[in-house]
Amino acid sequence: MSPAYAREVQDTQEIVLENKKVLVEKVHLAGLQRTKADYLAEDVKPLFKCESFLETYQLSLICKRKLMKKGIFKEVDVLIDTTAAYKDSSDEGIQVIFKVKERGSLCGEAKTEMSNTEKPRWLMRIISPNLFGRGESLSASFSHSLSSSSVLYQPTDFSIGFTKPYQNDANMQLLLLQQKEDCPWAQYDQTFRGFKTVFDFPLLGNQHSLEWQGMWRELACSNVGTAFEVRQQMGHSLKSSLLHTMVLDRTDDAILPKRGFHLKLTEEFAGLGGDVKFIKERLESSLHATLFQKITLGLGFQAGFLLPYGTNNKTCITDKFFIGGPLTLRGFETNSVGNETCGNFIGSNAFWMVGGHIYTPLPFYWSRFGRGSWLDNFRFHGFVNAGNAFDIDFKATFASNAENAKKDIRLSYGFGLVYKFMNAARFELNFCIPIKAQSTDRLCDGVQFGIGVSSV
Amino acid sequence: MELKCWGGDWGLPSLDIDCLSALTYAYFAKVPFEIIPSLPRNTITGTLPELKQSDFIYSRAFTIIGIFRREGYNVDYGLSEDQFANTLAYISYIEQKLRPAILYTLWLDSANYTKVTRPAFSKLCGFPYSLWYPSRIRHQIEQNVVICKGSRFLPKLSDIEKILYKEAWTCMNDLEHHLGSTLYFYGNSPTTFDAILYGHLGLLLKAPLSSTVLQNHLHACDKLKSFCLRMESFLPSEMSTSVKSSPLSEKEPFYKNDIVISVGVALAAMVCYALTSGVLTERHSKLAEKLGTVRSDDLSEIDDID
Amino acid sequence: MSNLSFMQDAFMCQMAAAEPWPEDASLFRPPEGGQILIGENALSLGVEVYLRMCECSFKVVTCTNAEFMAPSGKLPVLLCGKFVISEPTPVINFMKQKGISLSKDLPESEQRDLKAYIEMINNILIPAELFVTWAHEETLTQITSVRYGSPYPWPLNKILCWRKKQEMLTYLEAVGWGKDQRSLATVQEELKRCCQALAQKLANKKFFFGQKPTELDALVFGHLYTLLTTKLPDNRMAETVQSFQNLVSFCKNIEKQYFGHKT
Repeated sequence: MSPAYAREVQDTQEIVLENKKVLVEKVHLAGLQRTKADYLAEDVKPLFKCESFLETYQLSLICKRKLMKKGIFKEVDVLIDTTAAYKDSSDEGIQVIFKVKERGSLCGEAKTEMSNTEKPRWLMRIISPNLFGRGESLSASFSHSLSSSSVLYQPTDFSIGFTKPYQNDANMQLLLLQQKEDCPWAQYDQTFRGFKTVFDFPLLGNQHSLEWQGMWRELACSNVGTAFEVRQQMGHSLKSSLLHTMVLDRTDDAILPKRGFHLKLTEEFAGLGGDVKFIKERLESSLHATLFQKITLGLGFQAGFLLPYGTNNKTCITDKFFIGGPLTLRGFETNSVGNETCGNFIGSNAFWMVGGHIYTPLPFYWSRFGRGSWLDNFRFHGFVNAGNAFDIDFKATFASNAENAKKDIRLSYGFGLVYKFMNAARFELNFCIPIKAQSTDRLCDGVQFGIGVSSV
Repeated sequence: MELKCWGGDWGLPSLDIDCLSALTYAYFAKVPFEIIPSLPRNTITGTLPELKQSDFIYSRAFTIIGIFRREGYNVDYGLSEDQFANTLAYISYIEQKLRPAILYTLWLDSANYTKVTRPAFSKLCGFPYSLWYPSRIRHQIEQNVVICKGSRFLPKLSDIEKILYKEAWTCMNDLEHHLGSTLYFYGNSPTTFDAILYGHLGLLLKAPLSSTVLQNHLHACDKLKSFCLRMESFLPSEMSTSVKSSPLSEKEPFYKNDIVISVGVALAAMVCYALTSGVLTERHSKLAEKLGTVRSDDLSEIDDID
Repeated sequence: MSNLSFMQDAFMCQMAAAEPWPEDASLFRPPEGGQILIGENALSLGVEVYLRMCECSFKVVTCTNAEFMAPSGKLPVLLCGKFVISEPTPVINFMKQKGISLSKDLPESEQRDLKAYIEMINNILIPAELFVTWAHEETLTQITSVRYGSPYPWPLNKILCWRKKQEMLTYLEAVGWGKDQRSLATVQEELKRCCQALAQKLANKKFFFGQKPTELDALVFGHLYTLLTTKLPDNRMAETVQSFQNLVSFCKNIEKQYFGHKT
């Protein structure tokens, strides 16, 4: 040790910062150009209540994460400094400086998107984040389903959306969209064009969403051999409906939870204008519990009904429920269970599905499970699925409708592999054995592969 | 009377069905007219054939033939009322069934289009229109065929081709039987219907096609083939060559203008590229150094880069 | 316009021939006097008369989405057992495969003439009706757009009408009857020429090919009856047809014989 350095060490004092009492006097947000400061004020205000250095440090990291989550910044750096440079500052005064770099006024992204009901699609989006300075974003996106038979590089779906976030994780969204979907189970394709206004807000710990939709639906046969019952419903209709969704999520993971309870209830009331009138209810729920830290038991239940009202009491095939699929009623082809004519499935106005699972880590990976490697995303599972799609006669008694629900239950069991893909989707490769089915159902006896988000 | 038509090739005075129909009528009715090979862009109505008769403009083959008849060159005077009615019906028949197939085989069949039709029409259009005009016509014909004959379930041209050829075969067989034993369809001298039919069949017969499915069927219909040869005798023999050479003078001013414009555009593009790529201003450009036109700002930037 | 005839032939040839005419055959078309347009009415009426002439049992069902039920997107739609066929020519060909035809006893030369005259109707009358419906401004605003959009709520009625107009104008342009290529006066001239030929063919016979009706009679009736009885802002079409007395009496005869007491 050189003499100069030794002298320096003697002069400096060791200060233990952890529990040092501090007073947060200033919080700076540097680098704001478009963003308005009052939009971020609520997120950083809690810092002023900090009393110790450690608390300040931890809370500032939480604030940094909140700021990044807003999606309007490229980078957020946190600096904690004393306020000694300012006059009238106290001895314990510190300041927290957030150095932010805003995203450009126009950004683009290209990705593949997955959702439960549709096949994967490629998507290109142009976003203008933070349009007016308070987190509003305007985006235009083009996408094309990878399974669609039309030319791959011509986008079939478009949407233009405007999102405005509010405090407390609420946000409002206005969306203008066109969406095309192929329905090979009934040999027709449908195009939805319309306008949506969505308002998401948390209430009592649950996420609620209120939506108004005005949709122009166009149905057209995709094949010369489409059954006549389906053909009769082709054409145009206008649906104007109000939707309410409530999500109660007490699980620890969106795709492969180990414990917890999840409930999603959707209500739709169609009939304020337009020529389609019905009330639709859908319930999705699941319950998971883990034993011995490795084995997870899961139970899922989904049900719904559709009640038309009004003068003609007719329902369109596009509003009806369909069951069957690699993630819902395994062992049966997608939407190929239930009422059928000439090989085309026409849907029903009520359904229920139940599934029981046992998840275990991969057989050769048992002992090392949970250590955080990528193999943790795989699970081996055994399942039992049951379900039924039937028509409720709203004029008949509850007992006779219950009879209908219990009659002709479909049942299947099997085992397979589940993969949690990037916290966004669920891949399943299963070996299914359907044991109870109707003669008109389309079975998927043997290996079945599926991608989706929610499952039974 | 001036008749503007598409130019000719393959031993025919014109390569277009309607133009050929109008010309055939004009020749065998001995109408005094002047033929002017041109392009649709040089016409007032935008379509060919176009007839100019003392300040009046007429388009469409049937209308032009009607004008010839009105002017006293009427070859249908020998027809009975019944036969006249039949003429209209049979003209509709060939327009609905034969014409789409012939247009398909000339323009939408890839082998024929690339080897035969496109070169022939490019010669008629001249540079630089030959670069895009024939493909524009082809695209229009494709769209029309798909709109009229296709549907959601027949999007492929090959499926439409089967329908078109089948209908054309039936049509040709019917015409073969209809011709019977007379020299022409309504007696021993040609009439309007013969002119219009020759406009279609003449082109099909004379075009040096490489994909000859439809042409072969015409060769197999002996009566129709001899009918075509008979009609050919009315056309002047050196028609194809003289048409090309005569109004070169009219084409020339357009030709010269086009060359000047094309060269000008090319030069402007090169100059813009030179300026934007910095050939004349960048430090490392030797040309800029020689000319002394290096931008001075570049020098100060170097100090700031660490 | 028979764009699906080939495919339907291939599909149904043997199957159709094997089954007899069903009892519950139905003809679907939009409601008369409400949604239906001239062209559609002409074709639907033609097929209806043809079925009556062939003495086949059927019922007429009105529905607002008949156009979208049709395999080819054009009216009328016939449901016969398991088969769904649209447009007059495929329907006539389908019935031929079942052995039902009104022209099988005609000599070959007359059968050829029959084909040619049917093509004349397809070539002249159908585009003329479409022109009047979609390319003539007055008729479009006063009659067509009101009728076509009538079963749908706002704003769907406006959107669908606009879309159909674009589709029809493109189609008319493709067949050479576009707005820039023809005017109502030239359309009227073509119609007159066509009626002249038909009147000439009919002369003073009861039907076009003798004493028994054929497909031509049915289709011509469909077109001429519609043109005579539909009220349009510009009545030139009706006046043109009316000037041919034998055609008018032809329509009256068929109406009396096959539709009884209907006016």
